[in-house]
Amino acid sequence: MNASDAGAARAAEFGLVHLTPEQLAEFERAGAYAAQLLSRLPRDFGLDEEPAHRFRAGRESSADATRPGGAA
Amino acid sequence: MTDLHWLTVAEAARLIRARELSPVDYAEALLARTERLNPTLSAYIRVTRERALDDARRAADEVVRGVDRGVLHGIPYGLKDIIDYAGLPTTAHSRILLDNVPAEDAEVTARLRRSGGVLMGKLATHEFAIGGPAFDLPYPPARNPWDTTRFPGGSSSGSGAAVAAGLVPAALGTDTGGSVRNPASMCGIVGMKPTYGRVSRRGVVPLAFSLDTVGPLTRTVEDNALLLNLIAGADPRDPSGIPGVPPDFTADLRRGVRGLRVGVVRHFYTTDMDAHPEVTLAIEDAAQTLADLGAQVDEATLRPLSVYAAGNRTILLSEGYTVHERWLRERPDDYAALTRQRLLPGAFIRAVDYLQATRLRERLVREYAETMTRYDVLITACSMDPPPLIEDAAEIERTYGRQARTVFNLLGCPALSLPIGRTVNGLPLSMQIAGRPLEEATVYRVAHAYEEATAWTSHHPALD
Repeated sequence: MNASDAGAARAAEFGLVHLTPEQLAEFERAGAYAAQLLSRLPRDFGLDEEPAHRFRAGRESSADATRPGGAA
Repeated sequence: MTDLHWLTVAEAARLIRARELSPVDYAEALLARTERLNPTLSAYIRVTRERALDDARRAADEVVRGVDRGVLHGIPYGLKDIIDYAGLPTTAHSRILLDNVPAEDAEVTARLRRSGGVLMGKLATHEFAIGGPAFDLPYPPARNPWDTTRFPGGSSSGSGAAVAAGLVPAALGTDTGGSVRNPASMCGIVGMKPTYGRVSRRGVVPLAFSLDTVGPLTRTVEDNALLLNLIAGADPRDPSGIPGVPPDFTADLRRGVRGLRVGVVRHFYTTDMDAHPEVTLAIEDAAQTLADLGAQVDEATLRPLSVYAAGNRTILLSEGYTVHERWLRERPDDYAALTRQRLLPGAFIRAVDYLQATRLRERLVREYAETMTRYDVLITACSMDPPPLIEDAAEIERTYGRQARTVFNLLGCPALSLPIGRTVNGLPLSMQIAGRPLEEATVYRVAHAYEEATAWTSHHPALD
Protein backbone atom coordinates (compact mmCIF):
# COMPACT_ATOMS: atom_id res chain seq x y z
CA MET A 1 0.00 0.00 0.00
CA ASN A 2 1.51 3.36 -1.00
CA ALA A 3 1.26 6.57 1.08
CA SER A 4 -1.80 7.94 -0.72
CA ASP A 5 -3.63 4.61 -0.40
CA ALA A 6 -2.79 4.57 3.31
CA GLY A 7 -4.12 8.12 3.65
CA ALA A 8 -7.32 7.18 1.83
CA ALA A 9 -7.74 4.12 4.04
CA ARG A 10 -7.26 6.22 7.15
CA ALA A 11 -9.80 8.81 5.92
CA ALA A 12 -12.25 6.00 5.14
CA GLU A 13 -12.11 4.98 8.79
CA PHE A 14 -13.76 8.35 9.46
CA GLY A 15 -16.31 7.86 6.69
CA LEU A 16 -14.46 10.37 4.49
CA VAL A 17 -14.62 8.38 1.26
CA HIS A 18 -15.17 11.24 -1.21
CA LEU A 19 -11.97 13.21 -0.65
CA THR A 20 -9.87 14.22 -3.65
CA PRO A 21 -6.08 13.74 -3.48
CA GLU A 22 -5.76 17.41 -2.51
CA GLN A 23 -8.32 16.98 0.25
CA LEU A 24 -6.57 13.83 1.47
CA ALA A 25 -3.45 15.94 1.87
CA GLU A 26 -5.53 18.43 3.91
CA PHE A 27 -6.73 15.49 6.02
CA GLU A 28 -3.14 14.40 6.71
CA ARG A 29 -2.15 17.93 7.71
CA ALA A 30 -5.24 18.10 9.93
CA GLY A 31 -4.05 15.00 11.77
CA ALA A 32 -0.66 16.56 12.37
CA TYR A 33 -2.26 19.79 13.59
CA ALA A 34 -4.55 17.89 15.97
CA ALA A 35 -1.63 15.92 17.39
CA GLN A 36 0.25 19.13 18.05
CA LEU A 37 -2.81 20.74 19.66
CA LEU A 38 -3.52 17.75 21.89
CA SER A 39 0.10 17.56 23.02
CA ARG A 40 -0.44 20.95 24.68
CA LEU A 41 -3.61 19.89 26.50
CA PRO A 42 -3.02 19.45 30.26
CA ARG A 43 -3.97 16.01 31.57
CA ASP A 44 -2.86 16.29 35.21
CA PHE A 45 -6.31 16.17 36.76
CA GLY A 46 -7.24 14.89 40.19
CA LEU A 47 -9.94 12.27 40.68
CA ASP A 48 -12.35 14.92 41.91
CA GLU A 49 -11.94 17.15 38.85
CA GLU A 50 -15.04 16.51 36.77
CA PRO A 51 -15.78 17.80 33.28
CA ALA A 52 -17.69 21.03 32.71
CA HIS A 53 -21.22 20.82 31.29
CA ARG A 54 -22.41 17.86 33.24
CA PHE A 55 -26.12 17.36 33.84
CA ARG A 56 -27.68 19.44 36.58
CA ALA A 57 -31.18 18.65 37.74
CA GLY A 58 -33.66 21.48 37.63
CA ARG A 59 -35.90 21.15 40.67
CA GLU A 60 -36.67 18.39 43.12
CA SER A 61 -40.41 18.90 42.82
CA SER A 62 -40.72 17.70 39.21
CA ALA A 63 -39.03 14.41 40.08
CA ASP A 64 -41.26 14.01 43.13
CA ALA A 65 -44.36 14.39 40.99
CA THR A 66 -43.56 11.29 38.95
CA ARG A 67 -42.15 9.10 41.72
CA PRO A 68 -44.48 6.43 43.11
CA GLY A 69 -45.76 7.76 46.39
CA GLY A 70 -44.38 11.21 45.55
CA ALA A 71 -46.21 14.49 45.47
CA ALA A 72 -49.67 14.27 44.02
CA MET B 1 -27.89 67.08 12.63
CA THR B 2 -25.19 64.39 12.33
CA ASP B 3 -25.12 62.66 8.94
CA LEU B 4 -27.87 60.05 9.07
CA HIS B 5 -25.38 57.23 8.47
CA TRP B 6 -23.34 58.16 11.56
CA LEU B 7 -26.32 58.44 13.92
CA THR B 8 -26.08 56.14 16.90
CA VAL B 9 -29.03 53.96 17.85
CA ALA B 10 -29.65 56.18 20.88
CA GLU B 11 -29.56 59.39 18.81
CA ALA B 12 -31.78 58.00 16.06
CA ALA B 13 -34.29 56.67 18.61
CA ARG B 14 -34.52 60.11 20.19
CA LEU B 15 -35.11 61.78 16.82
CA ILE B 16 -37.71 59.22 15.75
CA ARG B 17 -39.65 59.56 19.00
CA ALA B 18 -39.56 63.35 18.65
CA ARG B 19 -40.80 62.91 15.05
CA GLU B 20 -37.75 64.77 13.79
CA LEU B 21 -36.61 61.76 11.78
CA SER B 22 -38.81 59.50 9.68
CA PRO B 23 -37.85 55.80 9.80
CA VAL B 24 -38.49 55.73 6.04
CA ASP B 25 -36.06 58.58 5.31
CA TYR B 26 -33.51 56.93 7.60
CA ALA B 27 -33.83 53.54 5.92
CA GLU B 28 -33.68 55.09 2.45
CA ALA B 29 -30.51 57.01 3.33
CA LEU B 30 -28.77 53.86 4.58
CA LEU B 31 -29.99 51.84 1.60
CA ALA B 32 -28.57 54.46 -0.77
CA ARG B 33 -25.24 54.36 1.09
CA THR B 34 -25.28 50.57 0.98
CA GLU B 35 -25.95 50.59 -2.77
CA ARG B 36 -22.93 52.86 -3.24
CA LEU B 37 -20.46 51.19 -0.86
CA ASN B 38 -21.41 47.52 -0.62
CA PRO B 39 -19.96 46.59 -4.05
CA THR B 40 -16.55 47.53 -2.60
CA LEU B 41 -17.05 46.36 0.99
CA SER B 42 -19.09 43.17 0.37
CA ALA B 43 -20.46 43.54 3.90
CA TYR B 44 -23.92 42.32 2.90
CA ILE B 45 -24.50 39.13 0.99
CA ARG B 46 -28.20 39.99 0.71
CA VAL B 47 -29.77 43.44 1.03
CA THR B 48 -33.47 43.19 1.87
CA ARG B 49 -34.50 46.54 0.41
CA GLU B 50 -38.25 46.01 0.06
CA ARG B 51 -38.55 44.33 3.45
CA ALA B 52 -36.60 47.20 5.03
CA LEU B 53 -38.86 49.81 3.48
CA ASP B 54 -41.97 47.85 4.56
CA ASP B 55 -40.62 47.66 8.14
CA ALA B 56 -39.74 51.35 8.08
CA ARG B 57 -43.18 52.38 6.76
CA ARG B 58 -44.85 50.26 9.46
CA ALA B 59 -42.68 51.86 12.14
CA ALA B 60 -43.38 55.34 10.79
CA ASP B 61 -47.10 54.68 10.87
CA GLU B 62 -46.92 53.33 14.43
CA VAL B 63 -44.93 56.34 15.64
CA VAL B 64 -47.56 58.66 14.21
CA ARG B 65 -50.25 56.62 15.99
CA GLY B 66 -48.35 56.91 19.28
CA VAL B 67 -47.21 53.28 19.42
CA ASP B 68 -43.76 53.05 21.09
CA ARG B 69 -41.94 49.75 20.70
CA GLY B 70 -38.81 51.02 22.43
CA VAL B 71 -35.34 52.07 21.45
CA LEU B 72 -35.09 50.04 18.22
CA HIS B 73 -38.41 51.22 16.81
CA GLY B 74 -37.72 52.26 13.22
CA ILE B 75 -33.96 51.67 13.53
CA PRO B 76 -32.09 49.67 10.84
CA TYR B 77 -30.05 46.61 11.81
CA GLY B 78 -28.28 43.72 10.09
CA LEU B 79 -27.96 40.02 10.85
CA LYS B 80 -24.94 37.80 10.34
CA ASP B 81 -26.06 35.20 7.85
CA ILE B 82 -26.02 32.34 10.30
CA ILE B 83 -28.99 33.82 12.18
CA ASP B 84 -32.45 32.82 10.95
CA TYR B 85 -35.00 35.30 9.67
CA ALA B 86 -38.17 33.48 8.58
CA GLY B 87 -38.55 33.38 4.81
CA LEU B 88 -35.00 34.54 3.99
CA PRO B 89 -32.17 32.12 3.25
CA THR B 90 -29.67 31.47 6.04
CA THR B 91 -26.67 30.38 3.99
CA ALA B 92 -23.85 30.62 6.53
CA HIS B 93 -21.96 32.01 3.50
CA SER B 94 -21.79 28.43 2.20
CA ARG B 95 -22.81 26.44 -0.87
CA ILE B 96 -24.07 23.78 1.50
CA LEU B 97 -26.92 25.93 2.82
CA LEU B 98 -27.71 27.97 -0.29
CA ASP B 99 -31.28 26.66 -0.29
CA ASN B 100 -31.81 26.76 3.47
CA VAL B 101 -34.86 28.93 4.12
CA PRO B 102 -36.04 28.79 7.74
CA ALA B 103 -39.75 28.90 8.51
CA GLU B 104 -39.19 30.51 11.88
CA ASP B 105 -37.15 33.41 13.24
CA ALA B 106 -34.23 32.84 15.54
CA GLU B 107 -35.15 33.97 19.05
CA VAL B 108 -32.88 37.02 18.73
CA THR B 109 -34.49 37.94 15.41
CA ALA B 110 -37.95 37.61 16.88
CA ARG B 111 -36.96 39.95 19.69
CA LEU B 112 -35.57 42.57 17.32
CA ARG B 113 -38.68 42.34 15.12
CA ARG B 114 -40.98 42.75 18.12
CA SER B 115 -38.93 45.82 19.04
CA GLY B 116 -39.77 47.42 15.70
CA GLY B 117 -36.28 47.07 14.17
CA VAL B 118 -35.83 47.45 10.41
CA LEU B 119 -33.92 44.54 8.87
CA MET B 120 -31.55 45.84 6.17
CA GLY B 121 -30.12 42.48 5.14
CA LYS B 122 -28.02 39.43 5.87
CA LEU B 123 -24.32 40.02 6.46
CA ALA B 124 -21.21 38.21 5.27
CA THR B 125 -19.49 35.74 7.57
CA HIS B 126 -16.62 33.35 7.34
CA GLU B 127 -18.17 30.12 6.10
CA PHE B 128 -20.04 28.50 8.98
CA ALA B 129 -18.37 31.06 11.27
CA ILE B 130 -15.07 29.20 11.11
CA GLY B 131 -13.48 29.50 7.67
CA GLY B 132 -11.65 32.69 6.94
CA PRO B 133 -11.62 35.28 4.18
CA ALA B 134 -12.16 32.76 1.36
CA PHE B 135 -12.38 33.52 -2.34
CA ASP B 136 -13.83 30.14 -3.43
CA LEU B 137 -17.35 30.64 -2.05
CA PRO B 138 -20.63 31.87 -3.60
CA TYR B 139 -20.09 35.32 -2.02
CA PRO B 140 -16.93 37.41 -1.70
CA PRO B 141 -15.44 38.11 1.73
CA ALA B 142 -16.20 41.43 3.44
CA ARG B 143 -13.47 44.08 3.46
CA ASN B 144 -12.29 46.53 6.08
CA PRO B 145 -13.83 50.03 5.69
CA TRP B 146 -10.66 51.66 7.07
CA ASP B 147 -8.66 50.20 4.17
CA THR B 148 -10.46 47.96 1.73
CA THR B 149 -7.29 46.00 0.97
CA ARG B 150 -7.36 44.84 4.60
CA PHE B 151 -9.04 42.03 6.54
CA PRO B 152 -12.08 43.19 8.57
CA GLY B 153 -11.72 40.35 11.09
CA GLY B 154 -14.17 37.54 11.46
CA SER B 155 -16.08 35.51 11.51
CA SER B 156 -18.77 38.22 11.87
CA SER B 157 -16.90 40.12 9.16
CA GLY B 158 -19.90 41.67 7.40
CA SER B 159 -21.36 42.80 10.74
CA GLY B 160 -18.13 44.60 11.61
CA ALA B 161 -17.68 46.15 8.17
CA ALA B 162 -21.31 47.30 7.84
CA VAL B 163 -21.41 49.00 11.24
CA ALA B 164 -18.00 50.65 10.85
CA ALA B 165 -18.89 51.90 7.36
CA GLY B 166 -22.15 53.49 8.46
CA LEU B 167 -24.32 51.10 6.45
CA VAL B 168 -26.22 50.27 9.62
CA PRO B 169 -25.90 51.43 13.26
CA ALA B 170 -26.09 47.96 14.79
CA ALA B 171 -25.69 44.34 13.81
CA LEU B 172 -25.69 40.95 15.46
CA GLY B 173 -22.80 38.55 15.20
CA THR B 174 -21.78 35.34 16.92
CA ASP B 175 -18.72 34.58 19.00
CA THR B 176 -17.38 31.06 19.63
CA GLY B 177 -13.65 31.80 19.65
CA GLY B 178 -13.72 35.59 19.24
CA SER B 179 -15.93 36.15 16.18
CA VAL B 180 -17.72 39.26 17.45
CA ARG B 181 -14.67 40.80 19.08
CA ASN B 182 -12.28 40.20 16.18
CA PRO B 183 -14.24 42.24 13.60
CA ALA B 184 -15.00 44.84 16.26
CA SER B 185 -11.28 45.06 16.91
CA MET B 186 -10.25 45.22 13.25
CA CYS B 187 -13.02 47.66 12.23
CA GLY B 188 -12.71 50.03 15.19
CA ILE B 189 -16.15 49.48 16.73
CA VAL B 190 -17.63 47.96 19.91
CA GLY B 191 -18.37 44.23 20.09
CA MET B 192 -19.69 42.28 23.07
CA LYS B 193 -19.50 38.56 23.73
CA PRO B 194 -22.00 38.17 26.56
CA THR B 195 -21.99 35.52 29.26
CA TYR B 196 -22.63 32.08 27.75
CA GLY B 197 -26.38 31.46 27.94
CA ARG B 198 -27.24 35.15 28.35
CA VAL B 199 -28.63 35.32 24.78
CA SER B 200 -30.59 32.55 23.09
CA ARG B 201 -28.78 30.54 20.40
CA ARG B 202 -31.98 29.03 19.01
CA GLY B 203 -32.21 29.56 15.26
CA VAL B 204 -28.49 30.24 14.91
CA VAL B 205 -26.38 27.78 12.88
CA PRO B 206 -24.18 26.14 15.53
CA LEU B 207 -20.41 25.98 15.47
CA ALA B 208 -19.67 24.66 18.96
CA PHE B 209 -22.64 24.10 21.23
CA SER B 210 -20.93 24.80 24.53
CA LEU B 211 -19.08 27.92 23.34
CA ASP B 212 -21.43 29.70 20.93
CA THR B 213 -22.78 33.12 21.91
CA VAL B 214 -24.70 35.83 20.06
CA GLY B 215 -23.60 39.42 20.60
CA PRO B 216 -24.10 42.97 19.29
CA LEU B 217 -21.70 45.09 17.23
CA THR B 218 -22.25 48.84 17.39
CA ARG B 219 -20.30 52.08 17.10
CA THR B 220 -20.77 53.12 20.74
CA VAL B 221 -20.84 51.42 24.13
CA GLU B 222 -24.30 52.76 24.97
CA ASP B 223 -25.74 51.35 21.74
CA ASN B 224 -24.18 48.00 22.52
CA ALA B 225 -25.79 47.89 25.95
CA LEU B 226 -29.12 48.93 24.43
CA LEU B 227 -28.94 46.06 21.91
CA LEU B 228 -28.02 43.55 24.60
CA ASN B 229 -31.04 44.72 26.60
CA LEU B 230 -33.20 43.69 23.65
CA ILE B 231 -31.72 40.28 22.92
CA ALA B 232 -30.82 39.01 26.41
CA GLY B 233 -33.15 36.80 28.38
CA ALA B 234 -34.18 33.26 28.99
CA ASP B 235 -35.51 31.19 26.10
CA PRO B 236 -37.15 27.94 27.21
CA ARG B 237 -36.18 26.41 23.85
CA ASP B 238 -32.46 27.03 24.35
CA PRO B 239 -31.10 24.51 26.87
CA SER B 240 -28.14 26.79 27.71
CA GLY B 241 -30.36 29.72 28.68
CA ILE B 242 -29.86 31.46 32.01
CA PRO B 243 -33.14 31.54 33.93
CA GLY B 244 -34.48 34.80 35.31
CA VAL B 245 -34.81 38.36 34.09
CA PRO B 246 -31.58 40.05 32.98
CA PRO B 247 -30.67 43.46 34.40
CA ASP B 248 -30.75 46.77 32.51
CA PHE B 249 -27.28 46.83 30.94
CA THR B 250 -27.37 50.62 30.59
CA ALA B 251 -28.07 51.22 34.28
CA ASP B 252 -24.43 51.71 35.36
CA LEU B 253 -23.10 53.35 32.21
CA ARG B 254 -22.57 56.78 33.72
CA ARG B 255 -21.31 55.77 37.15
CA GLY B 256 -17.64 56.19 36.21
CA VAL B 257 -14.80 53.95 37.32
CA ARG B 258 -13.67 55.63 40.53
CA GLY B 259 -12.83 52.88 42.99
CA LEU B 260 -13.30 50.02 40.54
CA ARG B 261 -10.50 47.44 40.55
CA VAL B 262 -9.04 46.92 37.09
CA GLY B 263 -6.57 44.08 36.48
CA VAL B 264 -4.27 44.39 33.47
CA VAL B 265 -3.44 40.92 32.11
CA ARG B 266 -0.16 42.10 30.66
CA HIS B 267 1.49 38.71 30.25
CA PHE B 268 -1.02 37.77 27.53
CA TYR B 269 0.44 40.37 25.13
CA THR B 270 4.01 40.78 26.37
CA THR B 271 5.17 37.32 27.45
CA ASP B 272 2.74 34.66 26.20
CA MET B 273 2.60 36.49 22.88
CA ASP B 274 4.55 39.50 21.70
CA ALA B 275 1.94 41.94 20.43
CA HIS B 276 2.66 44.56 17.78
CA PRO B 277 4.31 47.51 19.60
CA GLU B 278 1.48 49.89 18.71
CA VAL B 279 -1.04 47.48 20.28
CA THR B 280 0.99 47.24 23.49
CA LEU B 281 1.46 50.97 23.72
CA ALA B 282 -2.24 51.68 23.18
CA ILE B 283 -3.27 49.25 25.94
CA GLU B 284 -0.79 50.78 28.36
CA ASP B 285 -2.21 54.23 27.52
CA ALA B 286 -5.73 52.93 28.08
CA ALA B 287 -4.77 51.49 31.48
CA GLN B 288 -3.31 54.87 32.42
CA THR B 289 -6.49 56.62 31.28
CA LEU B 290 -8.58 54.37 33.54
CA ALA B 291 -6.19 55.07 36.42
CA ASP B 292 -6.50 58.81 35.74
CA LEU B 293 -10.28 58.40 35.92
CA GLY B 294 -9.96 56.97 39.42
CA ALA B 295 -9.83 53.20 38.88
CA GLN B 296 -7.41 51.11 40.94
CA VAL B 297 -5.28 49.62 38.19
CA ASP B 298 -3.11 46.66 39.05
CA GLU B 299 -1.43 43.81 37.21
CA ALA B 300 -3.38 40.53 37.08
CA THR B 301 -2.13 37.06 36.26
CA LEU B 302 -4.01 34.18 34.68
CA ARG B 303 -2.70 30.94 33.17
CA PRO B 304 -0.68 31.32 29.95
CA LEU B 305 -2.68 31.92 26.80
CA SER B 306 -1.56 28.59 25.36
CA VAL B 307 -3.45 26.71 28.08
CA TYR B 308 -6.72 28.49 27.29
CA ALA B 309 -6.11 28.09 23.55
CA ALA B 310 -5.58 24.34 23.87
CA GLY B 311 -8.80 23.95 25.84
CA ASN B 312 -10.86 26.16 23.56
CA ARG B 313 -9.57 24.66 20.29
CA THR B 314 -10.05 21.08 21.49
CA ILE B 315 -13.66 21.71 22.48
CA LEU B 316 -14.44 23.92 19.47
CA LEU B 317 -12.97 21.54 16.91
CA SER B 318 -14.59 18.49 18.45
CA GLU B 319 -18.04 20.07 18.66
CA GLY B 320 -17.59 21.68 15.23
CA TYR B 321 -16.75 18.36 13.64
CA THR B 322 -19.85 16.90 15.28
CA VAL B 323 -21.95 19.52 13.46
CA HIS B 324 -20.20 19.04 10.11
CA GLU B 325 -19.40 15.32 10.06
CA ARG B 326 -22.21 14.38 7.68
CA TRP B 327 -21.49 17.16 5.18
CA LEU B 328 -17.74 16.53 5.28
CA ARG B 329 -18.45 12.90 4.41
CA GLU B 330 -21.02 13.60 1.70
CA ARG B 331 -20.14 17.03 0.24
CA PRO B 332 -16.50 17.87 0.97
CA ASP B 333 -16.17 19.75 -2.34
CA ASP B 334 -18.88 22.21 -1.32
CA TYR B 335 -16.76 23.75 1.44
CA ALA B 336 -14.13 26.43 0.86
CA ALA B 337 -10.70 24.83 1.18
CA LEU B 338 -9.96 27.02 4.20
CA THR B 339 -13.12 25.92 6.01
CA ARG B 340 -12.40 22.25 5.36
CA GLN B 341 -8.86 22.74 6.65
CA ARG B 342 -10.20 24.39 9.83
CA LEU B 343 -12.79 21.65 10.47
CA LEU B 344 -10.90 18.44 9.63
CA PRO B 345 -8.66 18.39 12.74
CA GLY B 346 -11.82 17.75 14.75
CA ALA B 347 -11.94 14.22 13.33
CA PHE B 348 -8.80 13.31 15.26
CA ILE B 349 -9.98 14.42 18.69
CA ARG B 350 -10.97 11.43 20.78
CA ALA B 351 -13.66 11.41 23.46
CA VAL B 352 -10.98 11.31 26.15
CA ASP B 353 -9.29 14.42 24.71
CA TYR B 354 -12.59 16.29 24.65
CA LEU B 355 -13.36 15.33 28.22
CA GLN B 356 -9.91 16.32 29.43
CA ALA B 357 -10.49 19.70 27.80
CA THR B 358 -13.78 20.11 29.64
CA ARG B 359 -12.07 19.16 32.91
CA LEU B 360 -9.52 21.86 32.12
CA ARG B 361 -12.34 24.26 31.48
CA GLU B 362 -13.89 23.56 34.89
CA ARG B 363 -10.52 24.13 36.55
CA LEU B 364 -9.94 27.41 34.70
CA VAL B 365 -13.46 28.65 35.52
CA ARG B 366 -12.81 27.97 39.21
CA GLU B 367 -9.46 29.78 39.07
CA TYR B 368 -11.00 32.74 37.25
CA ALA B 369 -13.70 33.07 39.93
CA GLU B 370 -10.97 33.21 42.55
CA THR B 371 -8.98 35.81 40.58
CA MET B 372 -12.08 37.92 40.11
CA THR B 373 -12.56 38.29 43.86
CA ARG B 374 -9.68 40.80 43.53
CA TYR B 375 -10.83 42.61 40.36
CA ASP B 376 -14.06 44.03 38.98
CA VAL B 377 -12.82 43.77 35.40
CA LEU B 378 -9.73 42.69 33.50
CA ILE B 379 -8.25 44.48 30.52
CA THR B 380 -5.95 42.90 27.98
CA ALA B 381 -5.25 42.71 24.26
CA CYS B 382 -7.93 41.65 21.81
CA SER B 383 -5.97 41.26 18.54
CA MET B 384 -2.17 41.15 18.79
CA ASP B 385 -1.77 42.76 15.36
CA PRO B 386 -3.42 45.46 13.25
CA PRO B 387 -5.55 44.20 10.32
CA PRO B 388 -3.46 42.28 7.74
CA LEU B 389 -3.93 42.47 3.98
CA ILE B 390 -6.97 40.39 3.05
CA GLU B 391 -5.31 38.68 0.09
CA ASP B 392 -2.15 37.80 2.04
CA ALA B 393 -3.17 34.27 3.02
CA ALA B 394 0.10 33.61 4.83
CA GLU B 395 -0.24 36.71 7.00
CA ILE B 396 -3.91 35.93 7.72
CA GLU B 397 -2.84 32.46 8.82
CA ARG B 398 0.07 33.80 10.91
CA THR B 399 -2.15 36.23 12.80
CA TYR B 400 -5.18 33.87 13.08
CA GLY B 401 -4.16 32.54 16.49
CA ARG B 402 -2.46 35.73 17.71
CA GLN B 403 -5.25 36.95 19.96
CA ALA B 404 -6.48 36.73 23.54
CA ARG B 405 -10.16 36.19 22.86
CA THR B 406 -10.68 32.43 23.21
CA VAL B 407 -9.84 32.72 26.92
CA PHE B 408 -13.21 34.28 27.61
CA ASN B 409 -15.17 31.84 25.45
CA LEU B 410 -13.72 28.99 27.45
CA LEU B 411 -14.52 30.78 30.72
CA GLY B 412 -18.04 31.69 29.55
CA CYS B 413 -17.73 35.21 30.93
CA PRO B 414 -18.50 38.54 29.20
CA ALA B 415 -15.77 40.24 27.16
CA LEU B 416 -15.95 43.36 25.02
CA SER B 417 -13.68 44.76 22.32
CA LEU B 418 -13.28 48.53 22.44
CA PRO B 419 -11.43 50.92 20.09
CA ILE B 420 -8.46 52.57 21.82
CA GLY B 421 -6.59 54.32 19.02
CA ARG B 422 -5.16 54.12 15.51
CA THR B 423 -1.86 52.89 14.15
CA VAL B 424 0.45 55.32 12.37
CA ASN B 425 -1.20 54.02 9.19
CA GLY B 426 -4.65 54.91 10.51
CA LEU B 427 -5.82 51.36 11.27
CA PRO B 428 -7.90 50.59 14.38
CA LEU B 429 -6.36 49.44 17.66
CA SER B 430 -8.38 47.79 20.42
CA MET B 431 -8.42 46.24 23.86
CA GLN B 432 -10.66 43.78 25.64
CA ILE B 433 -12.51 44.35 28.86
CA ALA B 434 -13.67 41.17 30.57
CA GLY B 435 -15.85 40.74 33.62
CA ARG B 436 -17.33 38.17 35.95
CA PRO B 437 -20.07 35.93 34.55
CA LEU B 438 -23.39 37.82 34.34
CA GLU B 439 -21.67 41.17 34.99
CA GLU B 440 -21.89 42.71 31.52
CA ALA B 441 -23.11 45.94 33.14
CA THR B 442 -19.74 46.45 34.87
CA VAL B 443 -17.89 45.80 31.60
CA TYR B 444 -20.06 48.41 29.86
CA ARG B 445 -19.51 50.83 32.75
CA VAL B 446 -15.72 50.70 32.37
CA ALA B 447 -15.93 50.83 28.56
CA HIS B 448 -18.23 53.85 28.65
CA ALA B 449 -15.98 55.76 31.05
CA TYR B 450 -13.02 55.16 28.75
CA GLU B 451 -15.06 56.06 25.68
CA GLU B 452 -16.20 59.35 27.22
CA ALA B 453 -12.63 60.23 28.13
CA THR B 454 -11.14 59.50 24.70
CA ALA B 455 -13.87 59.58 22.05
CA TRP B 456 -12.20 56.96 19.84
CA THR B 457 -15.63 55.52 19.04
CA SER B 458 -16.63 58.77 17.32
CA HIS B 459 -13.89 58.35 14.68
CA HIS B 460 -15.09 56.96 11.36
CA PRO B 461 -13.39 55.73 8.20
CA ALA B 462 -13.25 58.18 5.29
CA LEU B 463 -15.45 56.52 2.69
CA ASP B 464 -17.27 59.51 1.22
